Amino acid sequence: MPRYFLNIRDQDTLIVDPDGDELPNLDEARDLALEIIRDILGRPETYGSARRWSLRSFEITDEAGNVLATIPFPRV
Amino acid sequence: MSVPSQRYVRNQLLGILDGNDYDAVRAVVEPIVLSRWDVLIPANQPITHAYFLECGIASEVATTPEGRRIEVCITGPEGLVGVPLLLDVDRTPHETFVQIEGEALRVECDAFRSLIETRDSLRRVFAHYAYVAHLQTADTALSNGSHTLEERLARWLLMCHDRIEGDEFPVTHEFLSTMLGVRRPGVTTAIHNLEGGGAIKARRSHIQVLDREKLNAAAGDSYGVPEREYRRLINATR
Repeated sequence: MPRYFLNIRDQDTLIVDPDGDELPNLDEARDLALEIIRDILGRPETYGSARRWSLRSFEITDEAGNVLATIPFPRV
Repeated sequence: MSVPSQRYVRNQLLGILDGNDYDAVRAVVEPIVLSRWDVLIPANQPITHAYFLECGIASEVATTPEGRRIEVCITGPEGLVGVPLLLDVDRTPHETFVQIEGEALRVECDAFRSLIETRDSLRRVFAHYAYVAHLQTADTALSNGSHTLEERLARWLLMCHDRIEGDEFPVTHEFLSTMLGVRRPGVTTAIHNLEGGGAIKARRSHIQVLDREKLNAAAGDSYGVPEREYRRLINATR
């Protein structure tokens, strides 16, 4: 299975995902990112304020570093 | 490998025992090497040995029926693995495995029981440790419920730093996300923030503590209660 990296774009900064996830395809990687976004926004006491996260997005890359998809956190 | 004399033993509980208690321990322990992921106490199976870590870190985890694991206690050279035996319990639903490789002195469960039953001063030291380990688990629960991931991560890093020699230890974001029961991108972001503040340096699969004061500040009041009780009850006995 290919490995997808869920990096986080925070304005000018890219917070690199060093581990990645083995997933069957890009759709599964998108679904995972959306699930994580819901989880993070639903638990601000753990992950910090939704306002802070709303400036960020997931940049999903493959092992070669190509950006395959960008999934923004919703604006609040 | 041989069993060190008390002067050179690195396990802190063994280090503070009365000399004749230590000699009794020394007569029944066996030195072993701990490799990463070795299971010291399997869940729901008879506990065969108690372990006194000389170096390295062991991690106790609780598991959901679906197999999700979360860390409830860590032990290094400050403690012992096998608290259930101390409480006259032969097995536990929790697993304890080696998180950071090291060395230990281990003692078979029957010999361990006999030490506790015949040596009250030794039992007392170990009982104090069991109490502090309970506090650590309680503080982990408190932290899971009331602190941010960044505070909890800082606490976890301080707790590991307390137990290792040097400032660097192996850990992946994936492992941290499992042990802290959170999403991995949350861990990655928290590590990025701590690194940006100059508290730590992260490289692939390793984290180095650069500035303990900053890490302490980042942990806030999530860190320190069991550590203070350890100093009060155990370090202060000598």
